[in-house]
Amino acid sequence: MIRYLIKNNAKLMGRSWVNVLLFAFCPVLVSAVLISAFSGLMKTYQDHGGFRCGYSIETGSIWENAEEALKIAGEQTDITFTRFDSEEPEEIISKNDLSGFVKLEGGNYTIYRVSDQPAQGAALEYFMSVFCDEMTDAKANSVRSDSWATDTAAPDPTAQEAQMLRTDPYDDIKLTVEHPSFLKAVDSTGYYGIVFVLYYSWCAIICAAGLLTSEKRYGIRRRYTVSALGETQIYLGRFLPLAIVVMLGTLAAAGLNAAFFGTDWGNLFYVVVLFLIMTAASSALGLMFQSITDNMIITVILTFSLVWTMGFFGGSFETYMFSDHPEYLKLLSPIYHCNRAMVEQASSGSSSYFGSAILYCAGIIVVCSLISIAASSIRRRGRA
Amino acid sequence: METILKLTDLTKKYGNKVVVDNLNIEIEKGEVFGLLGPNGAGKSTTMNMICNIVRPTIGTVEFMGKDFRKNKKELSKKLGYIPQDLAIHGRLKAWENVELFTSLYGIKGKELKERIDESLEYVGLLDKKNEYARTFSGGMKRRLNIACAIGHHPDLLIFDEPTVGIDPQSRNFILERIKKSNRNGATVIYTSHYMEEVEAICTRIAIMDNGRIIATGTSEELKKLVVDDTSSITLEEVFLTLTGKKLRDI
Repeated sequence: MIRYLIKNNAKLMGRSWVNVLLFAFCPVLVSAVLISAFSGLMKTYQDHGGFRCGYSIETGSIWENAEEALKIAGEQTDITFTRFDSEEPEEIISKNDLSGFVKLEGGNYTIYRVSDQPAQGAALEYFMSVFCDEMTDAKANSVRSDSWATDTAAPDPTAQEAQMLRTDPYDDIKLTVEHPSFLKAVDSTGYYGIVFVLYYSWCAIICAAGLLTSEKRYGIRRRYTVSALGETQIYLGRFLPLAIVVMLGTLAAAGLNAAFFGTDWGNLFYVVVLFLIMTAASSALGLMFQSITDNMIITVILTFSLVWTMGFFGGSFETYMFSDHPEYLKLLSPIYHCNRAMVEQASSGSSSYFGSAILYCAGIIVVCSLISIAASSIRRRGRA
Repeated sequence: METILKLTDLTKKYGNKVVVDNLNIEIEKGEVFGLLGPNGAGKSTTMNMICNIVRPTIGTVEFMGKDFRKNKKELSKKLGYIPQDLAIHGRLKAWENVELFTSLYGIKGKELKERIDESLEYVGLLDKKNEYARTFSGGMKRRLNIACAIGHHPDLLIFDEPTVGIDPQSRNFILERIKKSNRNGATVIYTSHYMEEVEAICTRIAIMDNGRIIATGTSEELKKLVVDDTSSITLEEVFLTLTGKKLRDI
């Protein structure tokens, strides 16, 4: 029964030139501006020109097994690691003209950055973060039943690291990292060309604004009520076409970015899956606000404020690699998970954030949909 | 005659304000029942309660012998509601509008296509089926509004002021179509502020004021309530006599 409702609502959204402009072309324009504006900064990160970094390893720690892998991986990303075990890191950096230092103790790592070399420091942080991810993966592959590592004092542990780096014995670790693959440095095209299309997909509710406004203004909802259409059916009749139309629009923007700027989106399957779940989550979120407020202007303001905040901490404006936001705030933002998942899979072919992005979005879809349907039912009863 | 719609003690209160007060009406199958009343009399609220849009505070709506609220899924397919608002999508073509609203009643596939053409032909818009509703004139939109409510062949048609703001030709066309629907077996409930329309098509008329029915009967019976010589008075004069000339600023 709602097949025709879905079809016609999709037509209503798709036929609006504002929607076409907003979701297919605006992300391309904004991406173009940001790619150009930040190309210098991102290039600095990408082409740090190679640098030397010192490290020390605590005897008997987990890191001893990974020392060789660390050096090999460092060479692959133009970071030359040299071991120093005797003095304090600050002195070592100063005496040997190093760009950074990593102290590897227990299950922790501590990074010492040189204040006038921010790009190298950021690159080192990013390198260590990815290296730990790789170690975690290697550990999961080689030793399934063990839990390992100790309390962390690492500057920016990811959720996975934080989970893995717990105070458990690690004596029996058999870490077999031989040729870890690392993320390629991401340039502004590969970053802003992706994250801004993703950001726009979180503004899905704007696509339904015209439809929802005219439904209310012209009494179309009364027709639905008279026809005994249930709240769930009405919700699905809005939610599904909204998610589909926004997904098609943003996928078109993704294609245009690839065509015009050469943005590499990576594996098409991952792209479509992530876009689908993300636009569905965004649609559910917007429809939830609309159901609660029954006012399009308030809905747009609320959605925009929330999405902007999530984007702010999620790396939509400032790259998540360089931002100084607390890790927990980043992790709270679904946009962070989606951005990292997409950027990392595009640059290296896989991302440990893919799963969390999917789960986070799926959670939003379920929770927001239930709230939407409940709010609409209560509103209808209240009206009655 | 068979009663198709029975309103029993129908009351609607919003807080302390009684909008519809203890309404009792029986509408027979095949009737064209007119509901008249000044602004704020409670006509729309009554219509909304009949259509299940608004829940009554007290009382029941019995439709085809069954409690409408308890048998909503089954009975809503037998009801066609033509709202006063132009409840159509301007960005959809005429046939798409009819498709959307007719499909809500479970009609699909080939049957749906046939019903779309039938409904559009009924309101004289078949040749405009591929045009966007936003390009239509006021009268055409009104006709499309009707087409969207009749595709599922309802037994009871509720028209809420369907001729507001349109030219005499369109109004005449719509009234003719209402009569035709009635001849084809549909029962009609009709509200309007145009007394001559109501007089022309309704077999029975109820006049509402302050949430209550103050008079019911045929046009002649209502006139007789005021004067003996019915030829010397119009329905509008009867209406003004019964409801008063005071402005209703609602």
